[in-house]
Amino acid sequence: MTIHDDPLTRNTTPAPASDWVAHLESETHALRELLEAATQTRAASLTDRQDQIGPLLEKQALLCEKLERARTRRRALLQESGRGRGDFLVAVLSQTPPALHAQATARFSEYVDAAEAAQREIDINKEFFSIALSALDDIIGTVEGREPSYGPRPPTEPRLVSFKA
Amino acid sequence: MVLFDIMYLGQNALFANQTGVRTTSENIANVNTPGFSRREAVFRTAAASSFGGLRLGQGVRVETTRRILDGALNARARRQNSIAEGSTARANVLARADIAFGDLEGGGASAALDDFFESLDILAASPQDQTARTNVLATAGRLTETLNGYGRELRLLREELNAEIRAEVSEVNRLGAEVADLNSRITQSAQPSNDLLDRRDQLIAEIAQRSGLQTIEQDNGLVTVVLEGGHTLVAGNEVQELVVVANGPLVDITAGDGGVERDLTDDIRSGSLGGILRARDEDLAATQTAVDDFVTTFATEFNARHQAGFGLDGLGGRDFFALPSPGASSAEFLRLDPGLSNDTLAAASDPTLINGDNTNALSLAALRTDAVVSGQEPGDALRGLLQDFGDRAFSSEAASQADGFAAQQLTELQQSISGVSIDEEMANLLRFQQSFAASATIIRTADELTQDIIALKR
Amino acid sequence: MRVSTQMQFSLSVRTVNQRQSELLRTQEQIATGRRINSFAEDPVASRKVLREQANLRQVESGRRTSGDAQLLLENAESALIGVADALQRAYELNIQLANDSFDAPQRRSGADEIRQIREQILSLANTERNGRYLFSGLGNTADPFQLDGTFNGDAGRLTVPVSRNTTVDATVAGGEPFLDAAGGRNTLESLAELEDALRANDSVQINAMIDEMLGTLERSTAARQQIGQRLQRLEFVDDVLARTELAANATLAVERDTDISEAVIRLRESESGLQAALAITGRLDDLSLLNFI
Repeated sequence: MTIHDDPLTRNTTPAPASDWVAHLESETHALRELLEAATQTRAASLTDRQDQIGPLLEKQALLCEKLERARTRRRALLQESGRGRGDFLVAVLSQTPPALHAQATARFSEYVDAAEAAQREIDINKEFFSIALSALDDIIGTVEGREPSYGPRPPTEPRLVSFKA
Repeated sequence: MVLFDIMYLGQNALFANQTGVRTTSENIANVNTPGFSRREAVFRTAAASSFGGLRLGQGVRVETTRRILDGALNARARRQNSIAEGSTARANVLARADIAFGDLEGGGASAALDDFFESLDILAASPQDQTARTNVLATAGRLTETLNGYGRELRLLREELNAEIRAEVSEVNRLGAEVADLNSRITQSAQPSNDLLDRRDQLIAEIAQRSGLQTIEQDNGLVTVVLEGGHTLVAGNEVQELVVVANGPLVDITAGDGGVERDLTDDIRSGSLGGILRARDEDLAATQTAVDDFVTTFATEFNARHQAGFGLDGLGGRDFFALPSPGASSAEFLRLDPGLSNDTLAAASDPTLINGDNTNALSLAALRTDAVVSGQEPGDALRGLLQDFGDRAFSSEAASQADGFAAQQLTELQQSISGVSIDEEMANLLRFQQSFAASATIIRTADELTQDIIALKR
Repeated sequence: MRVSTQMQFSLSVRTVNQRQSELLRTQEQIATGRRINSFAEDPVASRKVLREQANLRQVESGRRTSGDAQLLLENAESALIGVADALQRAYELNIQLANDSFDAPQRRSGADEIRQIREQILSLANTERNGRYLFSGLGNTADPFQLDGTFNGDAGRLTVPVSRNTTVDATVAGGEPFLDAAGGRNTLESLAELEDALRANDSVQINAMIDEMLGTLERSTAARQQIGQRLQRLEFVDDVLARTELAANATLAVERDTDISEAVIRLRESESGLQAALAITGRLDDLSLLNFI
């Protein structure tokens, strides 16, 4: 499992203000990994290499967990600074030394781009897996409800006259 | 609803065509198709492809589906199947003959012979009695008719096989032509079509049910089919047809092999054609010869004894039975001598004591216990040839069962490798379903998280 | 081993078919009472069956021909009893009338009685049964004897086959009870001679005939004994035929006939086997993974 390990995002304790740039970098990285995993999961689903799907799902689950923790921190910051979601960059900058403002702004932009890229891939997967599931449900339903037309039909009752009364 | 109908509905087709599910579905749909080998999808990495804005598999796509089979095992199963079909066809023909003259209840010719000898005993006891004489002629007539029936049945059984041989040969030719056609289609297509390969294997197996054969597979995908005895039935996209030619009342099988005409009648010994030919040319022919030999020996010996005696008219030197001219079946065409009557029946040895002398009648009656037919009493010789026939019918039936069992076992082994198991395929589908469902759950979570991030943007 | 869906079904169908054919065969064996019905089912036993059937036919034919022989012999026996009675009377007359105290008219009336005895014996010697003269030998065309003693028959004997490789004489040799083995006068000739002597009142010749007449009586008695022995032999033949019949039927029972109690047990086994096979086939559906989804 190659989840990018990042001490800054490992717990939910709010990080020192100077850490927000590193935090954005880390979360961007996680989003890119999520994009990659989503694509790979779809690819694996198109093959019958089911053994790859398990680890990929696990990886996605871990990435989701990490993003979940990041969201908690994000919400804590917004609450502290008394700002709305749309003012997240402003909140970050307020916690960041002015010398790092330009860098933070660039990281934020990359961060949102990564989220949008991941979102596109997730949208594809949403549609793909819903089609796949409904097709599979149909197939399984058909196979289940099938008359046993395969194989020579076994006699349902003895054709011979029974000696029993 | 047919499985593939669902698969091809709307956008599902996209999915169905592109995944291993298709292979699974194809396997399920063909669970009862004879000759179908289960398929396995083979994937390879490739450039990403997209359909209708939907980006599919990054770098992975189904290259081909592979048939799961064991060629050497298939050849063995096919060979054993030829043998089993041959044994069964032979046993079926002999079972028909068994109905014609293996019947125990009526006793057939053995009982007719007993009747005949009984009438001769009675004649010996009352040579002066006209009804005793009439009785001898009547039982002799029945014996003759029973033997005629044996001869006729054996001949007809062999001749009736002509139609079956023709039907089997034309089927072999038709199947051969189809194999030749598939040969050319298989070599023309860039990628081997599993359906065509399966179909060709199935056709060759069907030919093998009719005649033993060997196949030679070439690198270019062509299969050469060589029948038992060495005739090449299919070479490339050419079929060299078998020809049925009349041989007297029977038919032979010949074929032109590279311009050389050759007779295959004695070569084909397995498959239903081989079984029919064996029954006809070995079993029934041997029985026919044995019956004819018996009739010839018995009638000749009886005639010799009859000639030594004198009838009520005081004349001697006359035959009792009339044997056909050489070449004709003595069983089928045995008759009573046309001149035979109560008066010419030679019971007396002394021409001066014609009305009361039973000495020659005694000599005729004594034939019952004289070992004159191949060192055996006539009755024993007759029962012996019936037993020989019975042995053939019995052992052919036993062989049919044993060979059939062996073929069945090989077929099962083959099925064990190539056959479709609904359960197995279903397990595949369920695995797909579970992982897809898990994916869907994860996706919902990831979706929520990324949307939350995107909302940060103003 | 991987088990494909086709395998499951073909295996169970094969089991059911096998059980059904076993059941059918047992039912047929019980219904017909026959274990085997044709050569193909059991060639060796079939041959034995036909062989024993032939033996039974030979027993049947032996019973018939020995019955014919017995009829001829019994008729000959009773004829010879009549002959002996008549010859006894003739012998007594001869001894009585040899005494010179009898005169010519008395001897003439004796000659008349001898004449009657001659005719009586002639009729017995020419006895016919089933179109056959009992004392003519093999030839059978005309009366073997004439009143004057002329013999038209032959010395043959009718020999009849009665069982396997066994024959019995159904008649004595032609004329044997009446002919003199040494070539002298036969019984009818002797009687004619006695009648003539009595009619001619020839005491010498009448006396001379006494020994000869005793000889005719002894000949007929000897022939009767011979016939008695043949009739005894026929009884023995009947025993042999009965034993042959018993043995043949015993073999047939073993080789051909169904052992009903054993077959009924087999039938029950096949039936329950078939039901088990059918039940398994039915349950195969339940075994499918599909039922556990």
